[in-house]
Amino acid sequence: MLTYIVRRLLLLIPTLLGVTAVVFFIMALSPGAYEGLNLNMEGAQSEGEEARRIRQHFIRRYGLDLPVMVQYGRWLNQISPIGFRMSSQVQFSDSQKSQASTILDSSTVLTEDPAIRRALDATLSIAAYLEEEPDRTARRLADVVEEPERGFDLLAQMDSDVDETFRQEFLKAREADLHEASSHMLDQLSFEAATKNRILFTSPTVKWPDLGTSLRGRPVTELLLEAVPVTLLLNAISIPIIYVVAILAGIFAARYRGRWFDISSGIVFLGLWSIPVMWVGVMLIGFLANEEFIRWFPTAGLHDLKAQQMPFLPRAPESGFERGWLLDTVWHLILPVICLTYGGFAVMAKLTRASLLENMAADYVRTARAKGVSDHDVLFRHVLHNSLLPLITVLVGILPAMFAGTVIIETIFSISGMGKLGVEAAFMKDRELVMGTTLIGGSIGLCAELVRDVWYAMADPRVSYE
Amino acid sequence: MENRFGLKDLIMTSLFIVLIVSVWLNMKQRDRQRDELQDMKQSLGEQATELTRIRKMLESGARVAQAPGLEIPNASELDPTDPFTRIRHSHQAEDYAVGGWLINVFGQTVGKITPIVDTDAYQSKIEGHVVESLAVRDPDSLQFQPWIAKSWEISDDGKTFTFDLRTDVSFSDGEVLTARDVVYTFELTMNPEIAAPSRQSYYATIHRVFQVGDHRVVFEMKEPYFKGFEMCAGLGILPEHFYSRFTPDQFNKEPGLLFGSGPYRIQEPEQWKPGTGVIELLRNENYWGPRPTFDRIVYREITDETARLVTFTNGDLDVFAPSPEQYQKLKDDERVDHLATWYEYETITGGYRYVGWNQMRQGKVTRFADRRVRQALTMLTNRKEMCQRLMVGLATVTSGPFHRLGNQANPSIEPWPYDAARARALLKESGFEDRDGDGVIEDPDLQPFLVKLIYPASSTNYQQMALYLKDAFARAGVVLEPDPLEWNVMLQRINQRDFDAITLGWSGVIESDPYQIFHSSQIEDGGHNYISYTNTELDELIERARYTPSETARMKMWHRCHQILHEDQPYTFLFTRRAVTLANKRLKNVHLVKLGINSDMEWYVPLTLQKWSSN
Repeated sequence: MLTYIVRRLLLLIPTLLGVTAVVFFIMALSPGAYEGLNLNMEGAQSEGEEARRIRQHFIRRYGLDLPVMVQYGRWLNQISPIGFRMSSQVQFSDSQKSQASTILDSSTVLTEDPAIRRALDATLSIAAYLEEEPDRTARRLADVVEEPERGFDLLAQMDSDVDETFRQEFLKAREADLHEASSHMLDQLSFEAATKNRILFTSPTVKWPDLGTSLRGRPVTELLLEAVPVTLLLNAISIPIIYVVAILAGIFAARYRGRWFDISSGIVFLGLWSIPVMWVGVMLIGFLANEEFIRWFPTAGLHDLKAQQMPFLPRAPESGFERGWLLDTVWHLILPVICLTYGGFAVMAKLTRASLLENMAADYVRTARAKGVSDHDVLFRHVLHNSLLPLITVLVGILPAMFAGTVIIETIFSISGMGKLGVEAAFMKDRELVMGTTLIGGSIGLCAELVRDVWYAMADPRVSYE
Repeated sequence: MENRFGLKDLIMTSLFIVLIVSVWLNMKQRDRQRDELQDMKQSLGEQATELTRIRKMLESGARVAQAPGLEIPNASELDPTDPFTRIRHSHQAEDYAVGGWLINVFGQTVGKITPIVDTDAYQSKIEGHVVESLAVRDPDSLQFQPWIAKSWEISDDGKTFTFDLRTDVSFSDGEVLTARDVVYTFELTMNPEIAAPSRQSYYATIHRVFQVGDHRVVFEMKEPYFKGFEMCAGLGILPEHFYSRFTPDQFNKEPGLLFGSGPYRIQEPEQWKPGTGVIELLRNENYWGPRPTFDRIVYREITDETARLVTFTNGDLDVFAPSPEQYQKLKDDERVDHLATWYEYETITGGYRYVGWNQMRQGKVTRFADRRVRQALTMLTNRKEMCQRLMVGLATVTSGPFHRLGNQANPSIEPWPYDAARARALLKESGFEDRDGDGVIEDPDLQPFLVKLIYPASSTNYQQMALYLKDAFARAGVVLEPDPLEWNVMLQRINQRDFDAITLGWSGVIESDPYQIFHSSQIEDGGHNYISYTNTELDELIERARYTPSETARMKMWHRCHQILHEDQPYTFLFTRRAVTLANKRLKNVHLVKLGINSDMEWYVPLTLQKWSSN
């Protein structure tokens, strides 16, 4: 058994690689540009200057100018616990920094304080990028400010193509004013240094896996940590409800096969299953949260506006009943949970019923009955136990779904969960966010399958992996 | 098998009970801690309020000592350089009361409120309450009025702006705002390690910013660009003592670092997290101006249209902007009339919709390069009917890119009329007629006149517009094929100039710069002139106008630009939008100004109607 588990765990790695590679290449090769962010409130284009600069920024941040294969390698390096450092992760010691800053200070052109600070920042980024000692780069940068044309060499060394118009403008400015030209060149260098982020192939290290940065500049890990608990909460409530209701209904439907309960539960569950959730959600809000009809429930969100000031538990002081934070949350969860559950009963109930009926027709049931075992005992001791296998299959299929949200329900009830996060990321072509959700969703799905197989062996003595 | 309750079961059950009890006790304990914390917070809040009151008393006392017998002046007599004239005026109403919450709504989740990096319309609404700039435009006269700066000088060449700052402005933690903070804000924005490419290119024409003493800042421009003053005056001032604590990397990544001198503040900027469904702004008790009216300004995030509407009709939202479909339905709803007041208005910043005709597709000149064709297509479009039917009356036909309420628009220009006969004649003149009798017009080489119109697939409104155009053009034998595209794909097609026609909208500003959109230099290299429109006279005019500091001279040039664009019709300019806002009747002093609805700083809720409070 143990060897089996280990073997399966090792197999996880190539499978995950495959999953992420497929998603990555579909993302990278699909058409579309990267400025989708600059939409204003009405969905119109904003009067954006220099879309080029924005594009350049994203190209640098994600290495979009590299071949797609290399881009994927870069991402793998980022998420792997053992790998190469990126140039932005290089830290210099304080003494190295102060050494560089003294060299820059001695320059005659950098007279203003912000210019020196900017030059120092640029020095450190360039040094990290070129893997030089900061003092050496500082000396080169000091040369650049005295004689800005030298900056072109430095730019070339950083693999940046210099825009021809920039070169022309720059050379003109150089004649006019040394100060102007050096600040120009410094700008360009710091921009290059700050946005370029490449792998330093020299020193593989053990590091924390990094899921990267979303398009809007927030770490993917943080975004996931915000969305996952919300989705888990919703699913942790609704999936057990689905299971308890559906399995019980399935058992009774099988026991009273063909009687009114069997038929009516079948019709009701199938009916519920066929109602689109979008419609139900809007109707629930329109009728059960509306002053005009019945206002029992809130219209949006997971907490009341005043939830922050509520006590945690409900209580009833003299002034009247206070529902408290816990009850408030439950109250807000009712409508979304209804939407999440009603459609799920049909499949599970039918599955339970079919599996039980199959077993009830088996020989051992007849034998047990002939021995005089009561109906109740036959059903709950023998049949139910043997009917669990298909239920396990479905349950494990649902585990990854615990992690995935549903974008429709989240949008209708204004909840920020995984569904909205994932769909918006895909629309925005937010690559690292999509890859982050894929990686985590994929690993949970694969682990769930492993758990299922182990569980089979435990539930059914006929299954063995030896 | 014996079914007896054995020792093992007893132990397990008691362990389980102990577990449940301890969880319960733990919850109780947390609840008590929470209560205590609340009490402490409340008493702290009370102390702060008390302090503010005492400070105000001391201040007014000091004033009385200086000038005994001073009376509170009427609104009309107030100092015109006082930035708070309008607000003070609203405070004189009989039923005016401080307190209550103002509850707004966003239709989207706001991911980030940190200024400078990746700003969008939602973010700037929040920022507008927390961060202040040197000067702001008066919403009626559209002229700049002093705010943090008490006065300014503009050099004769229009390249240097010198601002004198007020000395009494402080940030919400009580630190005084000085010229150093202004310089710092500019440096922070331009720091290449800050991920703010769009802001950085916006401010690229500012050469440098430096301070002279503690309360004077000088902005030097590279060129006398007409928007230079607006740029400098509109820079939202950030406190150095707060922001210098963060590294550029932290600044790029933290979602809630919003801190400034404005009337409202974020409770704990470093702890702020998006996605909670509400964004709460608390009153800045240290505010340097008159005491802000509301205890809190709350933005709820309700992503579903119906849910938004129901929340509003339940009375849980104070301001609500219905969609055109909802507007049609709600217009005659008595319940809504009873609950709220309608505001319908046009504003210069509302922007306009257009159909752009691509004149150069992948290196080849298209049939839209002929001006007569473009004019004909405009005349085939019944824009009045479009405004009435598609936009349910919430739009007005526009003749050019400048909004008719602004000073840039040439008032003598009438939009092209709807005239299908003249359009057909023009098309014939430029060589398009039905040569094979199939109802479709062809050019001399027998190529049918076929247009593919691209538009964002997510919007039903654009979809309806495309179908409407298809119908209108078919009557003149022009085949229009709607081609909806996903937004990112559309951007790519725009960048590659790979389309026949496009319909989209531009958002508006008070004085817009047509350079980005219509100057021929913006054709290359991903510029916004993606229809490859060239007119040398217009190019020259725009170049001159941009560097003309005198407003009257510049407006004359813009008027001429408008004339040229009207005649050339590089776009078929469709319409400008009318905005609709519903405001709950409990809000008082909401009224229309030239820029739309007046600032929420001037609104209030009378004491009897206040239903939310902080305790």
